[in-house]
Amino acid sequence: MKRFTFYLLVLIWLGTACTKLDNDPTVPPDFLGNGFFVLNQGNFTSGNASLSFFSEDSVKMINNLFYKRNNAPLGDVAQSISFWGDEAFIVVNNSAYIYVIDAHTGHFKRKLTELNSPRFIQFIDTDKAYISDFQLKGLFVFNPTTMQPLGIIETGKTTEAMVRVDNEVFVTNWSAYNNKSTNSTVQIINANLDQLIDSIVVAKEPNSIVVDKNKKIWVLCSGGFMNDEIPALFRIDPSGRNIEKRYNFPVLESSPEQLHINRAGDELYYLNGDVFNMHIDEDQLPATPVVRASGRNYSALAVHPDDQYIILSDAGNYVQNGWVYRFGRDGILIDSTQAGIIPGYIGFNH
Amino acid sequence: MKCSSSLLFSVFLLQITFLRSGAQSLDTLQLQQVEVVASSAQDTDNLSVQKIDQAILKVNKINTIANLLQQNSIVFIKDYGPGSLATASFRGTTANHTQVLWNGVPVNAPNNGQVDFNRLPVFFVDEAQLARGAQSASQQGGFGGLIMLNNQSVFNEGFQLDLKQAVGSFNSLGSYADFSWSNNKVQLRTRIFRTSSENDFEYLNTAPIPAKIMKQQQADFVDKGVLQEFHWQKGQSILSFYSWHQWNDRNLPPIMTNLERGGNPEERQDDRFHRNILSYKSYWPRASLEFKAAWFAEYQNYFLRTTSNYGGYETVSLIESKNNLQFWQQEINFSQELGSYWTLETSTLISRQTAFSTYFDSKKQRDQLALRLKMSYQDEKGHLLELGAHQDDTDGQLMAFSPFAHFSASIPGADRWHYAVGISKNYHAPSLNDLYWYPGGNQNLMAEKALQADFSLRHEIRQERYQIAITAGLYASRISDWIQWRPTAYRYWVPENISMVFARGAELFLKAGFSHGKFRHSLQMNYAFTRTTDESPLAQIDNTQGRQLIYIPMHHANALYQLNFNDWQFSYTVVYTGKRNTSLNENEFYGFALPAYTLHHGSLMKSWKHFSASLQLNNIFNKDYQAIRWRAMPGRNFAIALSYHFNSNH
Repeated sequence: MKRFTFYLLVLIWLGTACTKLDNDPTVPPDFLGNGFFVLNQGNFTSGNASLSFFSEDSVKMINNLFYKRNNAPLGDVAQSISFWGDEAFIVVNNSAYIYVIDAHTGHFKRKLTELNSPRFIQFIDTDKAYISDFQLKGLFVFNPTTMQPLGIIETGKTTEAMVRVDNEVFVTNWSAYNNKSTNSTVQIINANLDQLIDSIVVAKEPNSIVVDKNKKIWVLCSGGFMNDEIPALFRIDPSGRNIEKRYNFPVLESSPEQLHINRAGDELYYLNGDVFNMHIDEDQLPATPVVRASGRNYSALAVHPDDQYIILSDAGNYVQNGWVYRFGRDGILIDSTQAGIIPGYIGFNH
Repeated sequence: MKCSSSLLFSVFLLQITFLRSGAQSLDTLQLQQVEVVASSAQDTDNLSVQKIDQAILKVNKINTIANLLQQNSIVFIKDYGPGSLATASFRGTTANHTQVLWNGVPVNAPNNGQVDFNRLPVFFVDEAQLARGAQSASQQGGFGGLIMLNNQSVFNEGFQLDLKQAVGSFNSLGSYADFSWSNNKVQLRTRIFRTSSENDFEYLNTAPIPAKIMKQQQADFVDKGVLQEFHWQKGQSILSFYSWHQWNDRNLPPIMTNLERGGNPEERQDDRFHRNILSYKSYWPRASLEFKAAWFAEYQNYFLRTTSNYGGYETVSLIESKNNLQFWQQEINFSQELGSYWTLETSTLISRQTAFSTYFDSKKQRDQLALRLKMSYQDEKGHLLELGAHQDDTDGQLMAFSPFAHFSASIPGADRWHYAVGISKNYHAPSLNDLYWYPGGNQNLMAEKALQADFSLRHEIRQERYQIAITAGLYASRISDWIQWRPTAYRYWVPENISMVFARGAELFLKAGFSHGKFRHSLQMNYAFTRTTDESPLAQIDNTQGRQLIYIPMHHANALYQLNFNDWQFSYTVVYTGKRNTSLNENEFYGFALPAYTLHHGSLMKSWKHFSASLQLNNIFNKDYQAIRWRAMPGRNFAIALSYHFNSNH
């Protein structure tokens, strides 16, 4: 019996001699200061989205900020972050809610739930904002102050990226999800009436949209994820609602995305494997990148509001933390730091 | 193709020729059914095959195979929750690398290569075995091992009836009926079951702000099934027919972070399968020959629909994906004793998989021709040597030659000490999803290849009042061309042969029995230490080399104590699941790993003449845990079962 007891004790010890999981002990400062948020999508249906903040003061990245501040996960597939006053609105796509946090501390303030598949927010004023949707054929309207739903603007197509020019909102129709019509339009919404008033046909999968200093609209189309059409960049005159210029990409099998513009509104940036930069007055697409991919899989792009540097994120292998790189406008790497899983959106809090 | 197929066919003809010369001397066949009810350390396993005791199968009749394996073996069950998907893996591999055989025929779905063990009732199984290491290399793809679920014929038992009714927490119901009639030549047996549950258990949801107690939503299921068997023995031969049909309907619950979605999401999966096996086996004193034909059909329907609370949208999203999978296989198995010690076993099989899927651009098909050979040597001193190989031809392509060798013996001068060594090579063909999924399927994928070695040592102690058998094992597997789905620049994922995975570990098994007076105690423990890492150059670039792969616990253990006294039986089970990585990150954070947890379960059974009653109490200490990230799991719950058994011969 002694040997029996000995074996029993050895097995019990082996079964319990394991390390215990501790949370990341790093405590973020109470006031975040100036910098940019990195929204880490996380893996679909894993609920491991997270929020990082890069402090320009300390030149350090604070990861898992939302969890550390609020003792709760951010949700499932974080999509975008938008700012209104001192607040940041985080759209969590597959959890179908919007969390509002203090843009200077990261503390949770309120939420809007029961959405379908939200993507981006376009603020109209303190009492009204639009939410685009990957599945819904329309825009969801809500009050960003009270978080009360105000209804839906029916568009007949799914909605994605938005810009506002005067009192009109231009919305791209990127997703073909559950759509019978082609996903190749920019739709125009009258923000006073909350009504669809017109649409412009561009190329397939218009994924991003910006407005320049001359109030011209720029739309980037990938051509379809199965390379159905030649990808193209469009310049649209919003007053005439017509296409002024089309820039075709030379290779069908390319997938340009992430069109951004600097705060001055005269320099465009986009991803097409490498990072390209062009002035709004250029007649042709740039042939030489400003930053080469060099084996990285860039997924998000942002330009510092004061044009100081370009920020790029690399999702890596999608099952471990991705990276964030800062490059000078000359394309020279400044520094790099780890973010969360699939860093997919970058937003400045100043 | 022609060359390889001709080669395999030639060997098949040789097999038939050999059979004719070997099957000369006939004698009367004695087919006997032996039921082993182990409540002591009387160990029926060999060093590489674990057989689940009949006593354990008996107390688990109203459970699923997922529960059975989770609590009584080293198999790791990746459980998405009661009624949801549960897959099995062991020895540091994935569910795709665990081959599941039903009466010798693989039941892994051709499209994803997996089996959902929450859909398989223990009630339909008479024997469950797990083969590890070289013993599992006789089947392509069984890198981790084989799970063998068998039905057994029983003759001369007259009319038998077994009825069970179970009631449990969360409006769970289970009805089971088993009818059997047999004389000395024929057995007919029909088993039917129906289980259902609302699964609306309460749990603490820490995802919302603030955390709150919630009820599980949309997790109800209804499973129904029938298993028909027919066995006819005549002289030295037996004809058997097995026909297994199931209808499984379930709603799919959202994860804990996604409970506030709008649009009244309706998400469900309805699966049906029909599996039929016809076999004819003849025995001679020194040989046997078996013909077997199998036809399986499986239908998987996934449905997702959302609406909107606003506007005139009846449907916002709608997905109706359907998979129609067919599999048929014909095989001939031959065994011949050669001299006093040697036995030759050969098997030749042809199979075809076809699949229609919403996610394939057309009907897909895979044909396989396979040959298996095994020579075994066994002498009266207990030396056992097995040398074998299988060579497969898939769609005209000769697959990797897969040999194995296994040797076991007692240590000279210490007959209570036994050891076994094994080495094997094996391959695993890509699943049809890997090849043809739209978009992303990669038809240039190669088969994964494994080189495995293992060593086991067993010590037995037998005293008058107690017996102990303890087995310790070490193994190592090097799996090259491991298939991994990777993102592309086009925002969809593509599978590639990129990883080189090194899986190694240690296993410990204990069986002990002790009796005094009318009390019989038994203890069974299983422990697995598993290290599985990606050692490929890409992992080095990603800085993930040497990190434990996702959802493979480094430590996994369970222990079962049983006490029998007259007509009473008491069982207590402890299951320990170690920390599981949910990402390949180095630093520990809630999002990157799931903490270890220990669950306690107990059961009490009392038998009368024709009746028995049992009470199962699961998760006794109401442990709050997650097996998969953000998948809700139930706290303390119970099930009561009443059984009636009738046997016309007794």
